[in-house]
Amino acid sequence: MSASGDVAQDPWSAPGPGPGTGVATVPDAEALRRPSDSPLRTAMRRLRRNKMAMVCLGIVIFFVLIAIFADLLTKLEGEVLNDYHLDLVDDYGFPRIGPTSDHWFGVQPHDGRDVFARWVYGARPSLIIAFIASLASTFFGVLVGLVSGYLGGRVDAVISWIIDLVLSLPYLLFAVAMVPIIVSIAGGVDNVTPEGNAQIRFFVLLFVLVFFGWAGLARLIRGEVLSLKQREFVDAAKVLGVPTWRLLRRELLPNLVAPIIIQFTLALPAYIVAEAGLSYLGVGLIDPIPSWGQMIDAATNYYAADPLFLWLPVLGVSVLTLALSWFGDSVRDAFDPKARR
Amino acid sequence: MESTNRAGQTPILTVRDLKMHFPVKNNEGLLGGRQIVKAVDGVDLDLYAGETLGLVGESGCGKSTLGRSIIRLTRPTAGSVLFQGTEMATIGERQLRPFRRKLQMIFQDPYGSLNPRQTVGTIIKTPLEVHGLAKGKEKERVQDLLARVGLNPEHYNRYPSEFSGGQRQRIGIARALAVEPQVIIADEPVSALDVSIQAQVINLLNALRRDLGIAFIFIAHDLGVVRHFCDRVAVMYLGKIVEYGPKHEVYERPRHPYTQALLSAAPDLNVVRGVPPKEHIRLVGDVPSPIDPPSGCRFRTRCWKAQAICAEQEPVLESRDDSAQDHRIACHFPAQLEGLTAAV
Repeated sequence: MSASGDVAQDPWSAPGPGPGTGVATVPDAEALRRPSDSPLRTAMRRLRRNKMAMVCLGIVIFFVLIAIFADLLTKLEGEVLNDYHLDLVDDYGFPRIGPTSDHWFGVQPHDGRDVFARWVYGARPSLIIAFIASLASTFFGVLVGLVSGYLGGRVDAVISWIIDLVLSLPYLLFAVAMVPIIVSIAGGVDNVTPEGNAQIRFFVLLFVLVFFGWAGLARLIRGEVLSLKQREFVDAAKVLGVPTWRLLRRELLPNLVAPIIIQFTLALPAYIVAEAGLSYLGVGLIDPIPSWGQMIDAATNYYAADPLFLWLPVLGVSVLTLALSWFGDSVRDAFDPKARR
Repeated sequence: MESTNRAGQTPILTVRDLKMHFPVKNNEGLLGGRQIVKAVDGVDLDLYAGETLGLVGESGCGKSTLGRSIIRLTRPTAGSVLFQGTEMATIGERQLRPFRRKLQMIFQDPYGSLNPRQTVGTIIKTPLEVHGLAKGKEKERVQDLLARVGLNPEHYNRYPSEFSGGQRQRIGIARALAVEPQVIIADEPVSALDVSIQAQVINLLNALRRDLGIAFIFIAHDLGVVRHFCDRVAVMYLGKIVEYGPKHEVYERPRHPYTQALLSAAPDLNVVRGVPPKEHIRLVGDVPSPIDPPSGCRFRTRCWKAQAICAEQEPVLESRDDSAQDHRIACHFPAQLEGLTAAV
């Protein structure tokens, strides 16, 4: 099998003119040399031309900037997050003041903490959890889907069964039930500081979201892989001896870029809503980590007296979610213009 | 390299009693059951260096499956495939790696066989990278290959969607050539192309065979293309070879009734020129299911010469007293039928 016994080397390396079968004639040699656009780049160009998408992206970036510069904004206001101002609430817990130059959005009922500070810091966990959960569930979903779909057979049967199991679990019930259990397993509640508890909650929430999030994408990717692996270019790669891992990464994955990006952008708003919802229900983030869901929960009791306290976090969640959803839709349209309504 | 002068030469590729069976579920009855599709059921072939072996037969006869199991896209159920005397039908994927350089494949569908998300350069570079060839000079090598298959080397950065079917097929050929194979299995390489493009691609393959001495197993259903391109021809029916011999023997003196029917079914261009049409052999019935093939001779259910012995005894693929020595027929009643192939 040594290479030395190969057929004469000369004809192989001789570029020569084509074997008399006519070179395809293209007039402009310069245009030929220029690399042509990859499907990804074409989609991105289409996306950039979509005004709606760009407006939504702007809104998302606005919130991201708020989250990043939460420290700075609070300093600008001259307040500190989670500082109690008991002098600004009356004996019944109602705030004595509305928006002032000291407290731009007023203070919270009950403990008098600054609402503006809570609100800008509240954007952080929302976005961080949404991005990390989306990244993690996309990563696991793609990995599991690729392996399951490509290997097939028993591996696929077992993985598909697990996917079906996870998807059939009642999400809300399990999330609500799982959080206290995992928190206590993680050593929370009794013998930890409130900060420690809030930290544990943060990671538990992340875990729960990813646990329920990967399966849908895994099933989607598995289906795509099942159809892709019937294509002859996969056979061609096998005949060339391309190792399985490289085949998955270099041959299949590039063909899955569109569904992956689409699912990722659509998962972001879903996770923001999920975080706010679970925090509202009391199984998400807890004090002292600020969160819009908690604020909404706290505000419902004081709605009549202090509507701004309710509307700010509602506005934050709604606008961010809406912008992300529309952006996700535009991404889908950019990758698959034929599916446009 | 002449196909007639093979005495004493050892074949580069030897296929012995190759079987490719697929289990399928059937849903009859309460629990269903498993059945076996015998897509390829005991095939012997020899391929000599530099020669071209045509594999013909109607759809579903197992010719593509045979090609795919020789090249180990599927692991054969039984039998042996020897490449220069080394067994490659049963070894693991890792041990198979060196053989992946020696045997290559050209595919039927020029649209499905190229990854739409890779540039032409990446597609042709992949085999070089996988086998560690032309290290550091991959791009030059790819451009040489593009030139060799008659494409502009500047097409390097283009995506497959920017090419026509014929050009895509050339890209597929360049990819197969990248590892400098000694055997190429071409699975209907021109069936999906326009007739004018077919001729160009066939000429390209001819030039490669001539210049590089590559041996081809050429799978096709177009008898005319096979006659033009191949040295020897094997006719398959329902997972078995029924007739096997030099091109001119099989085309001009077909002995197996199935081959005769196949050749007779080819369109006769002389009719257009005003010559009265020859009588066609019309086969009746469908190809039997490969799940439960007929006993004895598999062709007997559609054969006009079938007798009792055909159901009882399976005819052996062997040469006859009055046939050429390397012309083998699997039939109990092989008889010559002249003048079937005027226009093929």
